[in-house]
Amino acid sequence: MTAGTSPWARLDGWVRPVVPAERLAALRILIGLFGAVYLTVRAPSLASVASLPASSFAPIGVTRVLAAPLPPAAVWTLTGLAVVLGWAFAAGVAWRLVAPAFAAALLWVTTYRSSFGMIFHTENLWVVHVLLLATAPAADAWSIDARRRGGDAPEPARRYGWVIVAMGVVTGLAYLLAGIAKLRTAGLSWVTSDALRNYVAYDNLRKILLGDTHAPLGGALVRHPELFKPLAAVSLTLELLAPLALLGRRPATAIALGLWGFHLGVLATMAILFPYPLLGLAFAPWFEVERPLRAIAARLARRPA
Amino acid sequence: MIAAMALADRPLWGWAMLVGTVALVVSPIVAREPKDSFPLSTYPMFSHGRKDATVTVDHAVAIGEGGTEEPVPPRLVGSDEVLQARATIGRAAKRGPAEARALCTAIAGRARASGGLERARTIEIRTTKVDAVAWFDAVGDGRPPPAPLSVKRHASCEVAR
Repeated sequence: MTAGTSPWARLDGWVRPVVPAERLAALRILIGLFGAVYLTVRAPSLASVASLPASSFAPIGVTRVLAAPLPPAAVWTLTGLAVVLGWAFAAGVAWRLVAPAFAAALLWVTTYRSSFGMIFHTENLWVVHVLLLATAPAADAWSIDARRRGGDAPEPARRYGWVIVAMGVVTGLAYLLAGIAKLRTAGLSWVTSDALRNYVAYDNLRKILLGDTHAPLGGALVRHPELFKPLAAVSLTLELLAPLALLGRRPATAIALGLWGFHLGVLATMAILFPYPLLGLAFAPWFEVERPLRAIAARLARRPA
Repeated sequence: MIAAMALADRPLWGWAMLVGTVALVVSPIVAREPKDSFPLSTYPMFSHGRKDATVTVDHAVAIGEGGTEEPVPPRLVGSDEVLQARATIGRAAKRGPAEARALCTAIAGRARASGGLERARTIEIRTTKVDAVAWFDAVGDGRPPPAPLSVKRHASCEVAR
């Protein structure tokens, strides 16, 4: 057995693959642009917690350092800072300063929003991905910094690979943990009982009573109980099998499509939007995302002036 | 993180980051007392097995002159997020009549100041229990929704205009 094919070398090659700098940069651009737009559009909503009563304050995560809510001016300032840094992050400007600053600001703003008695679960994966990207040289290519440096694009290297693997592992784990949570709480009865049907009915009627947007399709499907056990079985299976996406492109494609369909179903039956996976970004670390961006860049370069 | 980028080329760094990240992500669920947090989570979404479709919701209702009712928009409760507004109402209801009345008065004040809920004369903080499946069955058949299983009124206040 040669040194290059030892089990350790193969494992190391899987954990720290040699990948082009453009792949990590593509993830920075896609996830960074999502973040910049999301924060810009949702800034008023994110900062609206400033008007909640102090008695509602229930700090979690990093906000546990606070004994009381921040003044509204501070909430708005930090939210605005996250917006500005988000755009700089996407563009790859002053990366060594901007990346950690944006990661910290994003972590703070999103955690603070969940510190008033209601933990939001639509942003967890995105925030962890940004935290990981911020530790890596994700602006070595396709960035303002790279343009300023000039010279040839960097060679593919392991320094660009391990963080993409880590992001992909986190995605797989997030869904696996969601599946485990269902089994821990309800056991297999989550699939064999009317649990999912009851949940869809409960969630939609609660939204109606609260004056929120609900899903008429979900309300209509509640009248067909035979649909829900198969749906529950499929969604739980996809969650538990999610880490298998790391085995290769084919399982990754199948699982990504399945989970995307799951989120589409959640939107259609409960009007709950998970924008990060619905835009495919949660699954982007599983794929060679630089390829479509290269193709787009090449097509733009061929256009007549 | 600046130091982290400088370490990106070192083999052990990649391994340490991967193992550390995995440990952090699974930590909430393997803890002796699993606790949801952010961004590290137990991912409890949709995990609570519902034995039935009974909905118990704390909410604020605006009542007009003819007894017509409409939900109070979350921004008048103090948040753009409806579930956060619900949590605020629930907390006030749980803490007793004084807190519920204080929230009711705050909602009424915001409605008056913003001109929202033009037809509302009274705001009520309630906990309502409804059978959701029976509700959708009735509405789907074109029948009126069934009466709630129970309604508890925590506070009522006028919207003075």
